[in-house]
Amino acid sequence: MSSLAIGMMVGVCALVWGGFLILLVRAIRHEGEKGREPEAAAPRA
Amino acid sequence: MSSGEHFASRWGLVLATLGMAVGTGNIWRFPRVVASNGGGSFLVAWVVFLLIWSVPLMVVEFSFGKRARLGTVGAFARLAGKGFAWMGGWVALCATAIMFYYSVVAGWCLRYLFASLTGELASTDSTALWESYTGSWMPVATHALALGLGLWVVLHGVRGIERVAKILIPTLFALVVILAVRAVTLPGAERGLEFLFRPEWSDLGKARIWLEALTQNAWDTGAGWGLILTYAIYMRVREDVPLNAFLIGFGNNSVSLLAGIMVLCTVFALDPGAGQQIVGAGNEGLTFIWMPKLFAQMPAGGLFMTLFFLGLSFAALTSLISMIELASRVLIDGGMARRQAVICVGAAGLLLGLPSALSLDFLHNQDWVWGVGLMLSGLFFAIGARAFGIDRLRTEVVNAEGCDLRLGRWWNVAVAVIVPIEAVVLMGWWLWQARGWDPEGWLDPFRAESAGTVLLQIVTAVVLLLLFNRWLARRMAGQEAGS
Repeated sequence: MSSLAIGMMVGVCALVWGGFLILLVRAIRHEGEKGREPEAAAPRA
Repeated sequence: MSSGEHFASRWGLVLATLGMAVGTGNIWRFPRVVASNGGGSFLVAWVVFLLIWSVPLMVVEFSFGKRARLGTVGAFARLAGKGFAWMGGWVALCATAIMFYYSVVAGWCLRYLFASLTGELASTDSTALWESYTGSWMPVATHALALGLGLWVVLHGVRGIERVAKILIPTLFALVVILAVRAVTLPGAERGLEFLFRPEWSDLGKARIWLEALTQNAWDTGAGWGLILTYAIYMRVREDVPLNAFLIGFGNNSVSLLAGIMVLCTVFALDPGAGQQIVGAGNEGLTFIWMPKLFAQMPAGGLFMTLFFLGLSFAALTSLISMIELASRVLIDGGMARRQAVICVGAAGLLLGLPSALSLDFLHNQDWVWGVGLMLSGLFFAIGARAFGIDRLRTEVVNAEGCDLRLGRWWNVAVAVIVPIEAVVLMGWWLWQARGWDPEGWLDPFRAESAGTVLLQIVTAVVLLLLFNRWLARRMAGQEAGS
């Protein structure tokens, strides 16, 4: 594999998968902070 | 009329929406498109459009569903104004028309899962199997089976959808990871990685690469289809919008990237000489003819073939479920009980899916027409948001209490300017391409993939929806429409 292809692979995978994992961790953290909220769906606006 | 149904948790919403977004397009279209459009350079454009098409539209959809608590027609009538109900009708029509033939595709996946489980696929020539299967009445039976499974889940309401998503989506992720790891560890897999990731920087100056990347994002993230809006109806009151939209966009594209690695490493490791021919064989050719041939050459190929078709079936079914829910929800807003609405959608789906089950030409025609129609759906969401007030939507719904990630004014610009330009350019480009494919008959409305057939079907649908706009607005959003 060429070094250009390796560099691209690392960059794209880090951006897409890394981005997904960072967002997932952030969502888990926020969800933990909010705790369980037994609420119903909102009525119509 | 609030149904009172809602997702039990954020993860139920995220997994169901990921199930909607991750479909067969991620597994069979993305690897082909990236391989045919410059590999690494295409990936740059693909990531850019995730951020300036998919995510902004996902945010619009989430906020429409969360604010209106109505299906596509009612949400447009209530938020954009009663004169816009027909746009919601268009979004519903487009997704429902796709559902009619997508159920046939889901049936193909189930048929091949069965064939790989029984060993039939390993012991039969895959070209002969595909031709005998599609030339028989069997696709009608598998279409009915796939539709029946989807209807059964939707009959159980949003909690049924959530329960199924919580099982199928993590399993699908695990299957794609297992298959990608297996593919990368095949001798010669680096040829596939080189093919997938090597950039040709000069390609970034070609309009075609950017338009293909935009098309891929428009088709495989599900942004602008109305499906996210439908699931957002069942969000909890203090549920986040922007972080969920980013999470689903990146999650969907993560699966696409894994699928690209899986398919291209398998192809180039097992049959490097035929690599270009395989990726040029079209969606069905790649998936149902070439992949079984390649898996047959692999140690324990029967097992991996079964896992591949299991993942494909899960991806197809979870997307099909969201389309059935969208159509059912519109009928529920019109006053039907859920059971009645789901039965109506099932009967229509069974009947109107028959032509696609019996004729590949008809299926390709529908795929072509409604694929272009989806870009119009994306444009309508941008127009609907503008009618409601983009900044008002951002401040009152997107950045409201419960949001975990505040969106700045860049989102206003994306929705007001960038998305409409992208939609118009993309539709124009696709129709222009049709002229190049068939210079003689590109305006012939009776050819399967002509600009003429797209214009005839789209214009007919739009005229009918405009004629029924007032009735739609009154029926779906009640007396307050336009408030």
